[in-house]
Amino acid sequence: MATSRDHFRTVLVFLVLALALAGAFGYSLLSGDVRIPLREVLRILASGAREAAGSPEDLAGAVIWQVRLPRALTALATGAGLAGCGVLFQALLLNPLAEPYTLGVASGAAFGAAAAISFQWPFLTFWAFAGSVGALGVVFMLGGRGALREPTRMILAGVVVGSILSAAIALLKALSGQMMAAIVLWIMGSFAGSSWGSVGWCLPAAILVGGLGFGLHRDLDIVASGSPAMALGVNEPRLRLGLLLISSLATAVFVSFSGVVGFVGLVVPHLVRILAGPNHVRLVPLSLLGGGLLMLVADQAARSLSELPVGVITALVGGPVFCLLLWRRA
Amino acid sequence: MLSATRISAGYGSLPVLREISLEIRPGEVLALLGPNGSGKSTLLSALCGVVRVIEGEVRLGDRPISGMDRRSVSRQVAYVPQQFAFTQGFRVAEIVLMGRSCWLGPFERPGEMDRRKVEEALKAMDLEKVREKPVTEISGGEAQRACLARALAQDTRFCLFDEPTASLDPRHALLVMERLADLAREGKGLAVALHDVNLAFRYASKMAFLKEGRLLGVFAPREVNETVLESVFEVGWRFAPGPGLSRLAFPV
Repeated sequence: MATSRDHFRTVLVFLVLALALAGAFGYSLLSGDVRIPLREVLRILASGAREAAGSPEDLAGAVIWQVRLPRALTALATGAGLAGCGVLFQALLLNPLAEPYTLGVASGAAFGAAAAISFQWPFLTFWAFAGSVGALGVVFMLGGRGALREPTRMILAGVVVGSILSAAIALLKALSGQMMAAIVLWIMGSFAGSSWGSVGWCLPAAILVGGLGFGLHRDLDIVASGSPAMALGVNEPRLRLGLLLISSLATAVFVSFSGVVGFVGLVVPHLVRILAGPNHVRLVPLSLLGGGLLMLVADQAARSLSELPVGVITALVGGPVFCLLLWRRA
Repeated sequence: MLSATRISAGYGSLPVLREISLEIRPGEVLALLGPNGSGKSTLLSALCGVVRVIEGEVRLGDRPISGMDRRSVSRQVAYVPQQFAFTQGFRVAEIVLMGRSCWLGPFERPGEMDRRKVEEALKAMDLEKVREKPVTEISGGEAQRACLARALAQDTRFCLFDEPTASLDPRHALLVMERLADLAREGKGLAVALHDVNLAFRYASKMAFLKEGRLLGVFAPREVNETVLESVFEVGWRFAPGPGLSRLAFPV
């Protein structure tokens, strides 16, 4: 049962993360090639999108409403959503190394995108999503009904499908000639192409994952603790099927719009567990905040470093922090 | 009453249990005994719906449990399996609180009664000193008592325990068995898989013997003799007088 010390620690971590997130979000609206002062940014936000869109001469308004705000919101939603999915995957698959890409969703998206880039198909996002869902379908089919009681089978199916698709992506890269750089860049992730369309998909997906994780926090605690979930009133196979399917589809949405941004879904839940313990009532919301923060910071760094792939930055920013916490804990 | 009628149950296509019928009545302790692999654990799992029943029916009162949702079953039947492997560092008190989960709605916080049940269960299982320790950092015996405390906090009409004293020292084994006997006196129905025949003699109201997935018979403790035990365990047995009017059985 949570003690007053737990509550104090949770509130403290929550406040620090929320303030940092607000700061990172604000900074992402302020910074860029076009210099827009804070007062102007606030005026533009207060005036609303319609007014800014209705005045083509208002360059600052267009930059905020059409470029920076959708990009920041997409990065925030993707980071939060991937971290939330990571929490669910690690709990449901009873594996600390599980992450949103464990069931082949990322490989499927990368394969779909690589095929679309190689053969110059239109609607790249659609093909990435189709690849994710296709890979996910194969993994669930290979895992079979027994996989819902034996998560290891599902992880193995994900690893096998991921390996086959990685080989297929390598083949596409080898055959694609000039397109190879585009494939590599897409796979490593970027928020440069974000729009209100991507916000419209990624934000609801993140809210859905967070809402389910928070609403089912007690069931997730029981499953993650290794307790006999069925005997404690949790229909474990149904919970596993439902949440893995929904969080995999949410991951497919994130990956389709922004590429395969690694590290966030794996490490943020572990970081939060070190800071606030394993209870999902705290783990889910704090991971959403932490994931959103890490992604915003990483995207900001990517922007200031000539649009480096954001996946590289997430690992470079989050990795040392994780090492430090592990070292301090040891 | 929790009853099984001609059930066959198992994990794959081949059933481990075949055509077993028995009843667990409120206020009694039914000891399940039998050699390794005889189906005691599978029977307990089947009685609470954790393992699929292939044929036959398990009923809780007049309702088949196959038609009940998990939460409803867990409010009436607690089950503590033989094996436990905690995978994350939840605290002992948090593990025990999980027993109250089936009584709470998704966004409902544990109330005064839930906290009281948890405190009582922690005290009954002598876990107060380790209540704030992560379950990954306590001994096997303490972990087993944490699982039992979780079942006590669940506060169900029926309790199924699979070798509840397997990891316990003698003092805690007696403490646990005395608490289980108290539960029966309070009107709860218990089924307990045991390897210790003498514990069954001391605490059980009835003894059910299983062998190779079949129920050989259900006896009152005083009816169990050398012949019954020899036919079940395939080893000779001798009886000796125990404390008071009890008797002790020894394999020879």
